[in-house]
Amino acid sequence: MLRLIGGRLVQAAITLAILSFATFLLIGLMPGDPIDLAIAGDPRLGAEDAARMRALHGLDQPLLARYWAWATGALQGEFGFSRLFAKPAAEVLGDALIASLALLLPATFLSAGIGITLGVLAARKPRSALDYTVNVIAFAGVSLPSFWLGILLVILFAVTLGWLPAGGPPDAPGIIPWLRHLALPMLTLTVLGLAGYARQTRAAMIEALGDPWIRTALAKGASERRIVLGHAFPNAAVPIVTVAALDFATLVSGALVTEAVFAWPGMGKTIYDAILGNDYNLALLALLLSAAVTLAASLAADIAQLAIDPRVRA
Amino acid sequence: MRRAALAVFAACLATAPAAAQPREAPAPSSAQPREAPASSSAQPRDQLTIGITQFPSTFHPAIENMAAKSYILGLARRPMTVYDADWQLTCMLCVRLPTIENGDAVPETAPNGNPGIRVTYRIRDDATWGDGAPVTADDLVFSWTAGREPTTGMGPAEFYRSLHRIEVIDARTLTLHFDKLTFAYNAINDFHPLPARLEKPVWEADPRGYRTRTLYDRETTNPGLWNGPYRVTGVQAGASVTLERNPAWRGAAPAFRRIVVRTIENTTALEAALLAGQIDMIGGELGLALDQALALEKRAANRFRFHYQPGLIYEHLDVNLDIPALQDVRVRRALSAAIDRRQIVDRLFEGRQPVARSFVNPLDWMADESVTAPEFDLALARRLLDEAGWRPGPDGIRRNATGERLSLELMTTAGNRSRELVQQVLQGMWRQAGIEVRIRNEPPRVFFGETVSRRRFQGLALFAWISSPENVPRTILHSSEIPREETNWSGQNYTGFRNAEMDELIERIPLTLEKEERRPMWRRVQEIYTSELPVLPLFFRSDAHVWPRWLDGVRPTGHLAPSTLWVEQWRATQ
Amino acid sequence: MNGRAWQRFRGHHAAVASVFLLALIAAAALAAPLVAAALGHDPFMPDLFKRYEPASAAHPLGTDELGRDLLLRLLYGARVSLAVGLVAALVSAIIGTAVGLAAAWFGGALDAALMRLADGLLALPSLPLLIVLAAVDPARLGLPRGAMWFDLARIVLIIAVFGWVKVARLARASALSILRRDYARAAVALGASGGRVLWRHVAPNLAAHVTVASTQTVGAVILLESVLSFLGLGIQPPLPSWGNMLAGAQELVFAAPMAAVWPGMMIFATVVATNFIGDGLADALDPRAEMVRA
Repeated sequence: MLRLIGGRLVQAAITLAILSFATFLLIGLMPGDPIDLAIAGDPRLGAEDAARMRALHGLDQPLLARYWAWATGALQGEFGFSRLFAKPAAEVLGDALIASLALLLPATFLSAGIGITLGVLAARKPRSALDYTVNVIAFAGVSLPSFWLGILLVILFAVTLGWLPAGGPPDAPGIIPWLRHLALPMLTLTVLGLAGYARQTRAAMIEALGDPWIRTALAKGASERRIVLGHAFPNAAVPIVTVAALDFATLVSGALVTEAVFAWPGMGKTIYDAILGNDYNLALLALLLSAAVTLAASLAADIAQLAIDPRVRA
Repeated sequence: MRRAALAVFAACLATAPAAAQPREAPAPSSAQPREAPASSSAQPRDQLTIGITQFPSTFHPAIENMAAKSYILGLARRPMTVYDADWQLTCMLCVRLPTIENGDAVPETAPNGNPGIRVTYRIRDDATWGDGAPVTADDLVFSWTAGREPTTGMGPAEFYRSLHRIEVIDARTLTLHFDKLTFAYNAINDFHPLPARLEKPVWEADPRGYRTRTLYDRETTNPGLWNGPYRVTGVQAGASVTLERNPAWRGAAPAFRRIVVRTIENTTALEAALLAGQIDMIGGELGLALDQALALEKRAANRFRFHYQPGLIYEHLDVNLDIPALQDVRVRRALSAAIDRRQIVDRLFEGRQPVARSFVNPLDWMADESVTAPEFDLALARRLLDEAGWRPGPDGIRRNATGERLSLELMTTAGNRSRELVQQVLQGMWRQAGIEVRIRNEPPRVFFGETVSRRRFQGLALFAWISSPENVPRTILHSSEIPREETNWSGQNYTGFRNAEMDELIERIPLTLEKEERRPMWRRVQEIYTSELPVLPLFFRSDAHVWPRWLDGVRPTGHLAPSTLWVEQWRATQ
Repeated sequence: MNGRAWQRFRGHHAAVASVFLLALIAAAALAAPLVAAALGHDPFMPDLFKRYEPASAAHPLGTDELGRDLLLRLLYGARVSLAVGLVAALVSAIIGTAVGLAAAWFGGALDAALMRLADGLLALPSLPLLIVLAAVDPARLGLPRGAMWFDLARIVLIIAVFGWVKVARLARASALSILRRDYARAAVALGASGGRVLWRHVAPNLAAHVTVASTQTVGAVILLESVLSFLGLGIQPPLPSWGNMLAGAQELVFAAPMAAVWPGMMIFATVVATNFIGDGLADALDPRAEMVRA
């Protein structure tokens, strides 16, 4: 286990180095410097201003030199200032991260919890009315774009019924305003997210329940609940854990569309702005964060698979 | 696929202010809930919540220029001079507008030998920062000193260079010496007084790091930074800015105790927030798309007042004059004559946007009604194409003598729904004249950063220019401004237009101080523009303002100055 | 598919109905020009005097924001959306399964490299890559400019580049789990070749997971196409797709909701159909089903 983790750390370092360079390169290669756009959008600025602003932000240096400067700084824990927000990149990201996690963490747990439960229920009686209902909910979840689900919920609960706010973070402190403002975006993300869990769980459970050993046990009159939860579910867990790991890996990259519909100032929007604004420091710090979480989630998934797969222990 | 990147590109080249309200200032007699006593919770309307679609990346007045910042700062700061809702230059912080006629401005020869001018401004006696300190000449001198230093990062450089000397007469009076003389000599709209007492030490400590250490971003709620009727009292990054009455403000008292400006970037979500009552109004400077507002008006006219005012955003088609087929002015005229601008404006925008005759806005004083306007005339278009040697082919598309089809590429910013609609309508209209148009759109960054600015578009490019009143289109029409590799692609004459007479007019107009002498020159500029057609005019955009029925007195301008600069005229009625 | 598997598939009524539904949509899409001729409209020609008309005999589903027939645009849109949705999902599934199996079988450095590549793609922000791609002028690469097949191929390629990751991780995890089982170990011990073990023992057992995962992405892929159009990387106007019809309806959701409902229903129908077909296939291919039903 320790060897696994140690090896992974080395791999992670290499991956992060390559990724950060690739991102730096990609942002640098994007045509249309935001400074050009600022000049084009403002009749009062001229070519001279462009050159000056470029020099000011260090954009006149060659890409490699800038990457080197960034990488050496980053290794010392110095992530620089955000060009767009004139604040330390870590500070800008900190606020966005808190907002995003407040939304995504509960939504991810809810969608996993509800999705897996629905999947297990559906798998117990395939092609029953319950099974079809679960499937249709899941199909709606995967075919509804998040924009539409979000806006439909807003129209229903905020505009028509007036029960919940249409969006934005709460003005007042306190847990109740937070919950009220979180309710709709969280519901949106949960409905969209649970489909994957439900479908994957259902498929894996049907397969696991088809195992001759389990069928025999059931035929011999063993408690169905015990068999389903105690034996079939662990057998089915490998794909579910994989799906969950993929889901958790995207926690810190935010949910751009849902954030936009609910005017939620989270990571999705921040990363988007950072990239379009050629804000290297901000974009790269966000990338490092999301890559680290992705790598950790993938490691956790591998460990979990080893731990839960009963056939390995046997 | 939560990570699917839904691009929320806003309309690119321009997000500008709008609309002049055809209404005089509100009746002062009506009872206003002015100094609201805090006791009664039923006290109505002491707070106004505004929704806009952008959040400012900085609150510093002179660093970077974005519409959201100027909208919010309009509530909390006053510039020296500004164009008002009637597009006239007026004083805000100064006592009177210096002119050559009233003797406050005197032409002189600059040290570099050019004709220059010295202009004397007096700051109003009641101009005060929020901490009680007066606004003084020092504040302007500091702003100039910092702005002259390139590493500070203020723009535009041209202004700070041409202002070569400042003479301080007394604490509130100063004379500015410019080394060039143009008709806009007394407009210092972008010269922002900065509180020297607070900001100067920060700047002096590290001019290069000033951008990241200015109190405007580190301590935005410091009252000493604000000299307007409101001051910023709270910032929720990316979401909202709260402003409250500035106790030090000595001008007319504003009606609302508190104004909250919320940012909701997605316009559908913005509309939902309005309908749900979370915001009271939508600032048209950064508001709903026009067709969205028109649709909303049909359903909610009883709850809100809608106001549409054309602004200085000029939607047009740049023609690449290097393309052989487009070098023929008859083809360009045919293209123009085949566009039914009236139908586009009437059908897509319910007639709320003015058809453009040229780049000159009809509200600008130099707009000349006698210049031939581009008219829809399909027969003329067909005749012109016949004359130019393009005859109808078997598939309905015209061909020239060598059998080449008259097929052009039409590009615009991908993801801009309104432009994509106009583009498809144009495609249909041109097809009627026998011209095939292929659409190829690109994201704004690529479109402006590469394709248009390096003149790589193979035909026509649909986009907008934003300008200020009486803006001289030097960078757009002067032949020295054609982007070329040798000059590192500077200049915005993307069409490649060369006309000696136009060049000369563009050079002479700024130097002609007498307005009436400029009039015939402007007329000639418009004549050349509409007969040579390097650019096909379409229409001017309008901003849609949505106000609650109880709000009165908002007067949008239609140009870069936001309506919030006159917030003390806003009133709540019952 | 052998005879018995086919029989099992036919037993899955929802799957069979879905095949008919998809075939119907596809046939209608192919017949779009005939329908256009029958109705007598040009679905690409704007008519500003007929914007947002309600359903009528002339326009069975009404008209869109430029006065074009909605039914015809849905049918033409089906060409793009079905092609992109099905092909991109299939390509992602094939690449993903291959990568996942290779990683699981060979292990070691190859496994590490492939899986870190997957993690990297998951973390890599796709936006700058897409914008860089949008700036590539096909004409300068000697490719036709504005040819529809090129646009479609590019969409499929972009989606597949990011889309294989999930399938690969699932395939790898399931394959590893299967390879640890007795029968797989026995097969290896008996000297079966790698290809044979993977094909005979591993692939059939992970078919269920892979089909579920990839049929599930069909809807997302159809929608992703409209995001790419937003960046100028998808298809260009006036060509419709369900995704860009849906995206175009966003701003006027309160005023003209039906403009969104129709393409939304088409996407839903396609998603339901592909998923049921996926279920049916997974059932039919399940090697143990024979023992179970026997």
